[in-house]
Amino acid sequence: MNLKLLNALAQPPLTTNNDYKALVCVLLAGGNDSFNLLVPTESDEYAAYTATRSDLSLLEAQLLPISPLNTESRGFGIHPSMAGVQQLFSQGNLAFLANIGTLIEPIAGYSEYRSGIKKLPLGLYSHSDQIQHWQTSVPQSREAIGWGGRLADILMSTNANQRISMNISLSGRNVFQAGNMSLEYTISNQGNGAEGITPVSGYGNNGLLQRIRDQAVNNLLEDVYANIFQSTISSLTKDSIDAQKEFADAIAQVAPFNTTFSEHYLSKNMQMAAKVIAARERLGFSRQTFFMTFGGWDHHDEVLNNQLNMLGIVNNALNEFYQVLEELNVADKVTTFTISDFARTLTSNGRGSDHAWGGNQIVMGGAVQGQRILGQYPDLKLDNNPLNISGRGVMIPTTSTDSFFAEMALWFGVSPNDLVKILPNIGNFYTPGSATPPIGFLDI
Amino acid sequence: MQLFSIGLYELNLDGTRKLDAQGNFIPSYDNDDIGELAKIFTGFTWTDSPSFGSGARADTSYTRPMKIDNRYHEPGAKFLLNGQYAPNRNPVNGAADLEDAINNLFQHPNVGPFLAFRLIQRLVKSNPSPAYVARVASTFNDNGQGVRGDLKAIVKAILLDPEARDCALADDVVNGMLREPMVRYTQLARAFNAAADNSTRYQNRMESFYEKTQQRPLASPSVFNFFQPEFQPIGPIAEMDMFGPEFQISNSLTTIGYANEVYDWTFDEDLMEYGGIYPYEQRPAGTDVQLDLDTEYDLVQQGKIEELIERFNLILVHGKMTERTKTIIKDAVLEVPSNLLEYKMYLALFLTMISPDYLIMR
Repeated sequence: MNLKLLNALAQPPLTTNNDYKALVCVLLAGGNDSFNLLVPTESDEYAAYTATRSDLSLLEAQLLPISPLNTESRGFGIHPSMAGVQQLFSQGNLAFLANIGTLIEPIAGYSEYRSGIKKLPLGLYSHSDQIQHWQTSVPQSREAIGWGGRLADILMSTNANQRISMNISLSGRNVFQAGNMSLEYTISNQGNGAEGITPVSGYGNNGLLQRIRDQAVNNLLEDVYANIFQSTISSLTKDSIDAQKEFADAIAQVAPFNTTFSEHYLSKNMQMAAKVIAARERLGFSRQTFFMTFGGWDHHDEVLNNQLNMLGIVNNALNEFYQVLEELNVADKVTTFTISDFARTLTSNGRGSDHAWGGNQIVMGGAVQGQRILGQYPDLKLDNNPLNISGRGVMIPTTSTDSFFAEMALWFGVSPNDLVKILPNIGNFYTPGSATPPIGFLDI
Repeated sequence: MQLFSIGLYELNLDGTRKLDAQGNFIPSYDNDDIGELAKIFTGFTWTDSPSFGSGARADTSYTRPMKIDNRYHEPGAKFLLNGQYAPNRNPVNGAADLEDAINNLFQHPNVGPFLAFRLIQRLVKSNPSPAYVARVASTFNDNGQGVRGDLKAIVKAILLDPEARDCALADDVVNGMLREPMVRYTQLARAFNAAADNSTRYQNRMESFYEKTQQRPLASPSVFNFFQPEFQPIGPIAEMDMFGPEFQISNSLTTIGYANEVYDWTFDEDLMEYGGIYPYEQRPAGTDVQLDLDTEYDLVQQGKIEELIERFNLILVHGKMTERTKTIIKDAVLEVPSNLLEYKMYLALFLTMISPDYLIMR
């Protein structure tokens, strides 16, 4: 660690403008009902959709039409609240991943699912398990280390800055960014992102008093503690204080954006992420990940009304973020993607929908070969559907989280040889080093 | 079942997981069990619901037991855990089915060790020995008078156990737990009898506390609470394969945020964020909450800084403050100009509250 720090200090910061990449993970916590995010519109398929989803169906006239380049005769529409996403898709800067989910190995259909031969993710339908597996991509166990953390363990040495983590969180501790050696740096969307210790005021002699206090704080935190809890809390606090000043100073120097952001915290989080990206050279970052959570998607009831509101919030945040990235001239250096616990049952419970498995996600960025629906969008009929494993309409995923993440990890700069260190199950879905990409939506 | 009674895996009395013949953990239930037990909960609605399926009438509906509407309760027998079942009742009786299901879970052998481990983590230490868990779990199983689940006896067993009482253990490097932010706040308020002249009709909004510590009572971000029992922060705790649940909400933002909350409570004498009960209510006079620090102020006035620090050590740190910490605080307080008596007192209190000696309860 110290050696690494010395090396980093010995080298001038990289010219990060030419070599910068960021991954932005947006967790829609609770399980987004994503078969209403992306809906088939070709007549037979739409009929199957309405027959299965009954009172949860969106009217065809409400759906925003899109023209995917790769689905031939199959037509699709997207949720009516997502006009910005529709536009980003049409401009080729956004794609959908269809029927993607947690898998240990491919499962061809219902008979394989029931056979007992294929390993299944632990805790299917359980929020805590599936939300964790989406962040670790190791669904055979309950891992504390996420794939973004493993990414940082391998790549953090490429950043000139070794004082602040490669992994920036706007939503506190999370599994995605937890590494064996790397810890996320948590910021807020307020002010300059990182708050310092309140300066002393109101007692006169403020300069002297502040020096005394800060020295004492420093002495307490720099002391050597044998107790493992004391040493953990003191070093965490000390590192936070040290990083804060450098971080906040760099953010303060970011010029105001022309792009305006909505009031919702998801948009404000995007705005702060953009500020950090804008400060990348000053801070000495060539690789970064960002993590933010937007929760409240567990719509066992009122799914239609809630989605109308909440997908609209996602739409605004994604749209504003893309706009500011273009303003900063880095749209092709930042890839943003959504994850969620699971999709929800295709059938209605009378008021909403319940926990399911495979679903649809969004990937956005200038580097993304957009206007495509990646993977296989499933047939939504309940009967004689080999992917459906429940009378409620639960789809076996046809694309694994591993394939999705591997594509982004390779783009981010992970070598094919290291891929298995980040995604231990990748070999079940893809041969690292092969001539073709895992899915094919980024230039790698 | 996952969070409040039996957990995901079958447990030994000492809280360790049972293993099957192949050496794998044994799940306590599977998806079929979830489906069966879900049937038990069909047909329940708000106690003040005018009709089945209508929403809660008021927030207070959440505080009252739900009522059963047997017309909407799944008929037939339901399988419970460990080979037991709720019988096919005719007429349908959802309340009786529920009673059967709760008894079934209550009698599950996991409950004792599951609860023992979690309660010890809240009350004493993050990493109890298996023997300690087993002693407390045994008390859950039988309080000595043949009664299962006597919570009073369990709390007594936890607090009076040698592993909680032995002072030599306190200096063990793996002993202790991080106090959670809410506990730090209430401890300060209670230790110094926080009170207002006028305490009628207002609420402590705590927005700032919540934002800065990421913790607010009854508002955890998910059903998994603010932190999970087996969270391992990076560093020596994880390296020794130990747990530190409360570290899950300790990060670059909340560690500094907490220090700034302490700044507000001490130097700024701002312990409470006023909120009226009704919108646009004027703040009544005398609702400022104050700590009673008269004794401490007297000590500063008499120049008894060491005694002041000892008092904070006794009241807040349970006598576990090291000489090194005392010296750091004393040196800082002595350097403050002598006319700033109140500042000296608050500085000692602030430094105590953010010191690792205080933050880690041992």
